[in-house]
Amino acid sequence: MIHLLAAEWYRLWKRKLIWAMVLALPLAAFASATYYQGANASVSPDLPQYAVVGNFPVLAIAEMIYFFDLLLIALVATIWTEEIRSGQLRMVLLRISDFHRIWWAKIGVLLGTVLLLLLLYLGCSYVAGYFLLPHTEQFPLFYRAGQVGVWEGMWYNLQYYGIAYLTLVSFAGFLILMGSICRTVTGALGAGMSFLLFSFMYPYVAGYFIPLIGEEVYQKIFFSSLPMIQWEGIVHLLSDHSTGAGWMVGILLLYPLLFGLPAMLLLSRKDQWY
Amino acid sequence: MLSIMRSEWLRMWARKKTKVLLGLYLGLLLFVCLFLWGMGVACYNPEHDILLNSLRTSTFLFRELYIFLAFVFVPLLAIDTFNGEYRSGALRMVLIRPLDRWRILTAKLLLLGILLFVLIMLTMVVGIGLGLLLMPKVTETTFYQTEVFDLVGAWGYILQYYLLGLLILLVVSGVAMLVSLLMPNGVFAYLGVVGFLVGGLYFSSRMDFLLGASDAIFRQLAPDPEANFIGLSLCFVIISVTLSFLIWQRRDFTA
Repeated sequence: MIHLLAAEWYRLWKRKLIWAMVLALPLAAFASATYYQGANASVSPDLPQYAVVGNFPVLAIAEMIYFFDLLLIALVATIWTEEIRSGQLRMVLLRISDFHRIWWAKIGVLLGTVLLLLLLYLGCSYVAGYFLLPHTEQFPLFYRAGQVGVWEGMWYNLQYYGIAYLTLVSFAGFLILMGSICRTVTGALGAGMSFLLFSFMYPYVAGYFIPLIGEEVYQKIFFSSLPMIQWEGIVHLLSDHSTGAGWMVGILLLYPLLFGLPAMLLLSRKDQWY
Repeated sequence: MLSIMRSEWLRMWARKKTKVLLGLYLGLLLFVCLFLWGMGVACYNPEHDILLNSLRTSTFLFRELYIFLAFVFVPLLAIDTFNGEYRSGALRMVLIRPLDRWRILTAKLLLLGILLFVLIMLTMVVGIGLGLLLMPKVTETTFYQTEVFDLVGAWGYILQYYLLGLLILLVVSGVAMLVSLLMPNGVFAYLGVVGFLVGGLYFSSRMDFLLGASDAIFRQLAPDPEANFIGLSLCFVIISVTLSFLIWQRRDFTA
């Protein structure tokens, strides 16, 4: 199994695509830091939106999480669809007996790569913040009373990145299904992007029906959408009085179960030797 | 030329994706119609809400549908015709025939342009019909900061609006074509197009018409234009088409 994992890992990391992503991360972090440098001028230093070294990683990922969604779509399209379609998968299948092992190796590589990219981005945003943003001893956090120091803030950042990672894992569940069904890379990309746009749209539409369905149901609908959890849910989960934590965790589990499981069943039963 | 276009047309519809995309678009169109009908309000931009009436409704269909068109429909169609065919080998079969290469690219371009034109006009006509049939009847109306229009004037405004919308979509498809000729990998090409649409904003705020197309068109069509993207868009179209022809002519597709 470890060899299989290594083989998948090498096959992914010898692509130009992944290196382009790695190179894009520092650029994105520095672009974002420059943006916040300008935005700081119109924000009071007492607000959590005011970017300092300690809280910049959170602000940076909050803006760039959709960029990571895109990277994930691209990665799944590459690891799944392209390998199935280009026939590379057959080469791998020649060597092993059990299809499920490839499946899990691929998942391991995908999740490992995404984790690595996220951590890299965390590091880059600290570096970018260190050079471009003000240094303060204490800073406030979203929906939290009081201020925190640098180390406590770092723990908060890590938690934030952890939950962001979980949302990406959840999104990957859907993408893997699409990546296995779609016959071309563009199809997989389109399906992923459509899902993302749809997830943006329906909470917005549901907003018009609040008088009809009530605030509580609306909140549930709102936080059933992954991009909305990424946008607002994570700070809610980490706030002093976190509400709807159970619901969001349930949603994060639901997506992989609802889509990932059928994907595995479907792909492992399909004849890859046609 | 016509038979080359016919061949391109047939291959375009042979891909199931094209049908799925068109179906999705029509479904969304219907949904947006129902949505606007149910709500009765829309907005020019985040600051300006207005009530819908029988004459001004049409413009808001494009407003709601633009993101899908720019981020999914147009890039996928363009990448499939230029990049997908190259990757799958279908292009070689086409190039076997004793045809000038530029004719094939012209056919592809024209076809994409015509398809977008038809789609945009269809959206416009559906919007006008929706307004006349289901929205509160009025005899005259205004648009974003314009004077009062009667029926014919309003249709003229709507036509201008949709033609500008078409221009923006042509920018997107031109860039998608260029990117997909430069990058043989479909994933790269798609990320490149999305990067162009979003990243342009980081270079200059004049590029905001790519993300908020409808807002920009309303500002452009105001009597005192607050935005001007027509020149910039034409530049983009001309540059991307010229470069695409150069690349297309020189590339060794048979290697």
